[in-house]
Amino acid sequence: MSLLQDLFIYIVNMSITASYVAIGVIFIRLLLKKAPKIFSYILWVPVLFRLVCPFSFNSVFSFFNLINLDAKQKSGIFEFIPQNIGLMRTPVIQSGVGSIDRAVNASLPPATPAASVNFMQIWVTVFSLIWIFGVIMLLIYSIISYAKIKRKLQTATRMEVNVFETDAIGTAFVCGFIRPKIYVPVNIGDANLSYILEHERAHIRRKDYLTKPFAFLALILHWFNPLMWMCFALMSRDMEMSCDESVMHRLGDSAKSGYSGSLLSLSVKRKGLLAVNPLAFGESHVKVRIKNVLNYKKPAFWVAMTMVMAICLAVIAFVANPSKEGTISGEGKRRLEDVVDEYYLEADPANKGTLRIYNIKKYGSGYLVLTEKYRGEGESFSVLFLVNHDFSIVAKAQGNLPISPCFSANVVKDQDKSIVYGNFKSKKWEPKTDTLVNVQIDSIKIIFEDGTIIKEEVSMDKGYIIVADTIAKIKNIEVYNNIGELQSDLNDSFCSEYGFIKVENETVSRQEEENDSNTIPMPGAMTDEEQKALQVVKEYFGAFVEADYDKMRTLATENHNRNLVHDGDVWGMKWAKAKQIELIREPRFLGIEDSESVLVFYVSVDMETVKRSAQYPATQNSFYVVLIKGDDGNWRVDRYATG
Amino acid sequence: MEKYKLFDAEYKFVSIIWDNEPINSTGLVKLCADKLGWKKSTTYTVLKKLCERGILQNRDATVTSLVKREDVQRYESKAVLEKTFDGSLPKFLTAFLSGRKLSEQEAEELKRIIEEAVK
Repeated sequence: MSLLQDLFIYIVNMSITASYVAIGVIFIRLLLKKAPKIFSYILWVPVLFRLVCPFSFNSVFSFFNLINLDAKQKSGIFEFIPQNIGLMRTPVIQSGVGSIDRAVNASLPPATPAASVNFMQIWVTVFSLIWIFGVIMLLIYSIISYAKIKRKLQTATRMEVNVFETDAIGTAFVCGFIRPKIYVPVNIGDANLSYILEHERAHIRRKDYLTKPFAFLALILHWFNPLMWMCFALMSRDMEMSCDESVMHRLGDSAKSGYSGSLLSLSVKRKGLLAVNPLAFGESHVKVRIKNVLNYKKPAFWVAMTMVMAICLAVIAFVANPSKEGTISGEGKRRLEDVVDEYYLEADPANKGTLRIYNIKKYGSGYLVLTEKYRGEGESFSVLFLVNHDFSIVAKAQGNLPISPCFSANVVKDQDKSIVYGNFKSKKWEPKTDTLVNVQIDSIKIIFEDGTIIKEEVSMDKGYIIVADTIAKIKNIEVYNNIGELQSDLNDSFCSEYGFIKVENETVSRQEEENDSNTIPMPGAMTDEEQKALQVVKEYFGAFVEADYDKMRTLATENHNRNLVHDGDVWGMKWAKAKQIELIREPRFLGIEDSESVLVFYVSVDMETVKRSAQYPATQNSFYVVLIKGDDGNWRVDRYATG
Repeated sequence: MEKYKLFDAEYKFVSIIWDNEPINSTGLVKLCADKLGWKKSTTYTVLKKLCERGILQNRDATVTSLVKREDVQRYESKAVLEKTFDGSLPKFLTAFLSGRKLSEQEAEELKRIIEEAVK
């Protein structure tokens, strides 16, 4: 996707976010009808913010927690329309309105891997070109309008400092960005003039002459969004009225009649000026404005204070994004816990362990729940449940728990999404020095090979569930502390891929037993070289079960024998039995390039660690074994890798 | 007679020249900057325009007027009369005098002007 398309999708997502906020603001404005307009005016700040700033912070106070949006957030950005929609196998949008989504998604053309370009990409390209064309046209139009006004005002003559009069205009306004000047029509009478100047000076004081063009610039970027045109009109009105109020505030009640008289006598019909409509004094909506001026009362102190507090809260609510688990209610969490608990009781009645719920995340219309229930024997593992919106369990996938690394990573692919999940630990084992190192993890970053990068805040005791709109392989996973220092990555760990196992209210333990059989059949036939290497790995582990280190030495390289083999253990293991050996076709995530002379196998084992090892009694139950082809054509075990 | 139609800014500008002619253009730029708040370029633009219309002339950087103040004023008053009072002077006077008193002196002067005009 090129820069333009990316930018366009950003803009559309911002537009949708801003529209939600705008609807909220318009609703609150209705409640504030009687209140001073300054409050309504301030309420537009979040809308403007949403129009120009794609990301925001997360807070439980967010207004988005109130409306149940299904839209995903990616690093503080709402993604109603996925950034890579052009490449998705089945493109989907999530506008947060179910009926719209269904209608739109049904009509979206799927990507056709065979074709050189796919339809969706073409559509995105077409729309983004239309959009940029519109933006450029509107910009040109605005610049021309502004130049025209400037030319008109060229011969305006000075009345006093910063005030100019000319017969080329029908109403007073402020013009200019750096040193704004006040322009008034000729012959308006002294009484009117004093009020006009008060009003225009208030505009200048409040920097309205900058705010309005800036807002208009934002509007230009979102020209395709009719709601934003309406917001701009309403915002301009609130701006004028709160400006009137600020004049009243300065002049006091006695000026009310004179001021509204001036408004009336100078009111003009605006002539289809949609672009740079300058801050005109007698500009439009005179009736409403006069009413507002006459009704204006300085609110009592405590009322004003309450209002200020309320508006501040509202602004924060509109600016903040929903909290991460935002849309799951407490009730929902309880039900999910019950459902999972019940499942374990039925599927694994012998398990007397305590159920831990690490993390719950909304997923489509349902939920993902990361749990662990340790039987008290054998290896412990986590389970990711896929739960329907009606709280029935649909599927589950296994996950590893970290033992020597400080985090585990598992991935399960679902339709065209990758769900990455795992847990954290506060220590990691350094095999080189055989020591335990303390770590602190506050955020996780997942990098996919197609360039998708997802970063999320995490808390160590909760594990993580991250959903990505890609099915590309994972290139690396990095975990950081809160000051951004790298704590660990896939070089210390590894990423296992599991599939969802359908759950139909019956035990699935049988399926797991099948998985435990030795060496899962390989996808695709193996070459002779690969067969040879596999044979070496099998022999090597055959010797390892017997703790026959001498035999292992003969099957390994010098590097292996020097660094991994100690007196009474190999890499901290007394013995190890391979339960599963699998060839890794593209070991790039291990930092190893495919080559003729290097092969990598994934091995999961039963084993015993030596007491001296820092890991004791924990067990690392799967890792990668790297083989190197020597000059003599024999494959030898060179080193281990944990991702 | 459209020639005499001047915009507000043009009238102010020409007034400066009537008061100070002949004036060299540099001096005029200074005066306009001072009295009208004009940039040099604005002064020259307007000057050029009025020269083209034959209201002013600029010879060897000296600016003089080609029309008299009275002519312009006559045109303006006529235009007001045409536009607002259907060209009727009595109507204009009625409107002008309604709700204000004339001093003896003003009345005398008006009488004399009218007698002159009837001859």
